[in-house]
Amino acid sequence: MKAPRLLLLGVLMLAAVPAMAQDRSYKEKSIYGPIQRRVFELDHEIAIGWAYLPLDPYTKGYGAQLSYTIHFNHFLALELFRVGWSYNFDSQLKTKLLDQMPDVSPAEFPAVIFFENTNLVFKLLYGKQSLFNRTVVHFEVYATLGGAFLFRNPYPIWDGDLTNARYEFGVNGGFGARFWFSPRWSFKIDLRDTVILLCFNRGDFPLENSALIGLSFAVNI
Amino acid sequence: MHPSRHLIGRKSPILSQVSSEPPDTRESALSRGAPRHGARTHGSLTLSALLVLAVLVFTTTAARAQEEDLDQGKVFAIQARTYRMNHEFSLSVAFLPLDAFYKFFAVSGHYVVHFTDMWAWEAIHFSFSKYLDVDTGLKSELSDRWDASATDTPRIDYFIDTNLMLKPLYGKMTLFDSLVIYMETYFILGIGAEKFETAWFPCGDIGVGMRIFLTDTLSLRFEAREYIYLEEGGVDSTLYFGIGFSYNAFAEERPAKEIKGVEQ
Repeated sequence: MKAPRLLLLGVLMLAAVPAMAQDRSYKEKSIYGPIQRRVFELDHEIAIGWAYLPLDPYTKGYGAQLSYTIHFNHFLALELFRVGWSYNFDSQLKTKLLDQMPDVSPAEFPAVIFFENTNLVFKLLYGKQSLFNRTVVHFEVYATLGGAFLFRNPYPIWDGDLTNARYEFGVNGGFGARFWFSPRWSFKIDLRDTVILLCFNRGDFPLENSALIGLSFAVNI
Repeated sequence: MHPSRHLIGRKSPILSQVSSEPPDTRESALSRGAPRHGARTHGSLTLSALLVLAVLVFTTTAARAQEEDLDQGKVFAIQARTYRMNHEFSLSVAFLPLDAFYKFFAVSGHYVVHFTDMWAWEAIHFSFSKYLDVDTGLKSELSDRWDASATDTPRIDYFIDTNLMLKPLYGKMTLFDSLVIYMETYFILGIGAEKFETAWFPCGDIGVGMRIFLTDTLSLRFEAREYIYLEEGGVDSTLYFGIGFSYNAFAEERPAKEIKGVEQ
């Protein structure tokens, strides 16, 4: 009778080990208290969206942007590129100047046509909120810092007039928030600012701001 | 659903402390089951084998069920709001960046009455920006480049408005996965007036903000508002970014509600 007893005991112990291990891992996880494992992880992200460039006193830019971001971990990512195109509308000030000052030429108002940013993304905050106490919305808040290349021209690109074009470099910084729809799809709001430091083809240092407000949809591929 | 109830963790693979069955309970349930089967030590080898099989099946099923609960998020937590606002007094600083000639800073005061967890009324918001502007240099540029002088550039002195506040989002977030921060997101819609150097203009405003709770009585507010005002001959707007501290007066009158069986 000893053999069956021992066998039974052995099997019971073996059977109990996975359950105990599971309990232990559960406790280990629970030391974080209310902090839960992130439900939505990102790897390679492509985002496409709308951009608004409001700071130029002579033009207001509306355009589109496309970005690709590599996410290394929960806290750090590299926005490898964010390229955008802007269609510019004349502001009232520019219209007045052109109408009232005969010696003012439209060629004197270069505006951002294309831009490219490469940024480090610091994902500071991750959380979730209940919407009307019914739906849980997961989100994160991040900050960005990097470099920017801009192409500014007084005329739309299809006019073909690049006589007064400016190819410029600057530093770019900002922050944004992401809201997830699903593990793959999310919606981003960005606020970025580029300080233009250098114009390559003119050799000057304009020190101008170009801010951008962006709304985009992102997919994790 | 009760307004103070708050869904947290639905579909989350890991249960939060507040809602899940305590690990000790699970452990004791498992340990209770084992001796009951193990106590039967007499009988044939076949019976023992059957018992072993039964125990294995039971244990595996229990473990699987637990795993399913964890992975599929069948258990979700309902938490009471830890922080609730009552009479809010705020002091904030603001930045108004969109004027071409001046960038304005402002000092603002707010008083908000919170009716429920969802609705509040910002009875008064007053922002003072007179003397707090920075010249962008555009006037000089116009003068230097084209010998043009800009005449129609009135500065904002102050503005006052009253707003309805909707607070549909309440939740928590982690800073670097180590610090839990409770917060809410709110939207505002209101009317008011902007006082420029030259005249008053009626305005409407919309906005969005985020409140970060520091204690029961102190919170930090970040917000963006767009003031759309009617001026002579058209419509214009002022963008407002603000950050401020709020004091929740009479907080003890609106304590966090207890939900039966749910910790906070």
